[in-house]
Amino acid sequence: MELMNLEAYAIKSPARKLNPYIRVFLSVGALFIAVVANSPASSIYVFLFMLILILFFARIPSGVVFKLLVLPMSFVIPASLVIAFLQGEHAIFSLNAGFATIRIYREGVMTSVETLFRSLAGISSLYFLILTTTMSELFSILKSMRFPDFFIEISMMVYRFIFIFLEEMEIMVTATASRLGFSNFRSHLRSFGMLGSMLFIKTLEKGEKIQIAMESRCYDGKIPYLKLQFPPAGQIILLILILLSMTMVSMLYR
Amino acid sequence: MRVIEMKVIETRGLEFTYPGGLRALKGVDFHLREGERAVLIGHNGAGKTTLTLHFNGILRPTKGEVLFRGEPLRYDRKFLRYIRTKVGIVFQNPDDQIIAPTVKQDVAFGPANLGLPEDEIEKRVRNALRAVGVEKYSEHPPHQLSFGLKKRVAIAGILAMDPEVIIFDEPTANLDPQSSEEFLDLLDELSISGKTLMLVTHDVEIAYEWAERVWVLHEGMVVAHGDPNEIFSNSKLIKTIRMKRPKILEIYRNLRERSFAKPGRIPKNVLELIDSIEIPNLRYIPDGEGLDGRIIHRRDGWAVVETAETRKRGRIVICDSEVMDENDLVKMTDSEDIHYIGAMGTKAKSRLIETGIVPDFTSNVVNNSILKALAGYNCLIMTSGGMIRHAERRIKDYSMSCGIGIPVEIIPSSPDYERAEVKNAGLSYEG
Repeated sequence: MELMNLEAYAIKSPARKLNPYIRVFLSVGALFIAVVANSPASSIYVFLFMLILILFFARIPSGVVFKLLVLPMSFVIPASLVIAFLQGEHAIFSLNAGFATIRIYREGVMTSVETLFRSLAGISSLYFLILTTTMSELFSILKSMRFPDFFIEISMMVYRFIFIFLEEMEIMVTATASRLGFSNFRSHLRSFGMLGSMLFIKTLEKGEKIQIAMESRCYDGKIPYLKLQFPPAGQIILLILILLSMTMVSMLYR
Repeated sequence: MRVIEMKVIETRGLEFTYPGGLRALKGVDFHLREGERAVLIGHNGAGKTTLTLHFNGILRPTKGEVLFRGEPLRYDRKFLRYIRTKVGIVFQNPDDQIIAPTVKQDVAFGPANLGLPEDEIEKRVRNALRAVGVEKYSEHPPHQLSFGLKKRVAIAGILAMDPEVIIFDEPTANLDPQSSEEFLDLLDELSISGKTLMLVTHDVEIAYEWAERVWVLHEGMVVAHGDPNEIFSNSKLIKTIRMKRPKILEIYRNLRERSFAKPGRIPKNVLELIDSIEIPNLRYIPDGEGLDGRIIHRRDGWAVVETAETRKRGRIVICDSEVMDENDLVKMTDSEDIHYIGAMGTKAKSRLIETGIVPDFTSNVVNNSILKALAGYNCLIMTSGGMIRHAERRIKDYSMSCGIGIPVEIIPSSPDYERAEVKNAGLSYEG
């Protein structure tokens, strides 16, 4: 469950010295460059850059980072491999299997490598965001960027209640399992259905209670946000320099 | 001195029926006085939570009325906002109350909705977090906190609104004992700062120890209210409302029945209980004999008995006339400590005649000595050989059968005599 608590790393991370705007724009900017730029070199550059930031600036334990990368890699790698077989004109390898010919194309391999690194770059940029920024900072930034209130408020509540219901679910699953609710396929199905309906009922109950509690605290459509400071000039310059270097790399090595 | 007469919250003939037809409250007359520490107890489903939800206008009575400082509650938007800033409710499950993604934001929720200026919100949040001791978690998301900490955050969320009355719904449910104690400390602080507090609870221990006034809700009606001593001393009431007597009170009552505790002030906590302890006039005798006192405690066939009389008892010294030399004998019989002298057996008698001592009893020596000892005189029995053991046993037997201990001393003390046994038989706690 340690991956569930990524926000705990964000709270402790020394990267929080950086203004939240800078952190958000850095990761979003890097993501944008990596996705838009058509060069594997810039993807590799962005990936390595963000990885180094995560490991040495945000001080996230390498074991955690490794696990976090393995997770998406498990479907990024197979997906990129498939691409190598799909498109292109110049086959660099072909195998006649009787009814079909399996070919690997040069262009396919190129695209595949590009996809792999682009994904890595994107993933690492977003991990930088997740591992250094708390949800409340993110919500406050969304708010300051004039996202509609209802959207942010619903996201906030969803975020809060994901954890409550996870806890609730865990308790119910344990209770069901300890009464042999998952002992065979039939009971598995039945228990799963019951859990689902129970969770639904609990959601309704919870909703009612929360409404009462919110009313008791004079809910008037206002959810407090964190006060955000405008980033200092030095950090802004640093951000621009980093994003510029990424753009340069993507333009120079196509 | 605070004015205790002012009723902050009052309900008159409050009735409430849930939309499903469940009659939760059937005419409740209730009040909370300014600055008081009240507890609302009642069995599951007695209507406790329903009642509290009327205090800040969440529920609207089907019949009857709710008053805040003598003013009936109005159910328009403006008044509801007002009453909810005055009456804060801390709900049982903090997860039902905490909604924001960080502790700080959640505590700011109430003040922000009151439309307070930024710096005022900031100040209130800081103070509330400090009051419950969770400042260092202010940036944390709530789901990373333990249950006890979440509970504190929920309390801080209410404190930040600076209400006059705070109602805690089952505050100690699910808290570990240490956290419960800390919670009570926090309540004390709040109480001292002038807040009117009410706990809704099942915990009779906390209710008894903490409350100034206890309200008992039973099947939607107030069946009793008053001083915790009164409420919890009422055995019949306790049974009907499915509660139990608090341990401190139970122990005190049992001690009292056995005269181990002073009458008067009924203890509320361990310190007062210890203060009330008193050692009565006790005897330790074998159980099941006819005795002229009250049994206070039984163990292993023995009983601790309180006797009505308290006068001092004499002791009996058994002296081996053969071993003592003449000087010692004279010194002993002349001592002011000895009031009566008995001689038992021919050897002892002749020895006394030799030394010129005139014994007071020469027949029925043991019984006479016991009688004198009971009257508070010290006796010396001169005897020898096996008679020493015999005399000792007779005194011991007497002590055992009547439950009155008589100290026995044997001179010179010899390893042959098991003095512990003698002591046990004739032991008297008063010495």
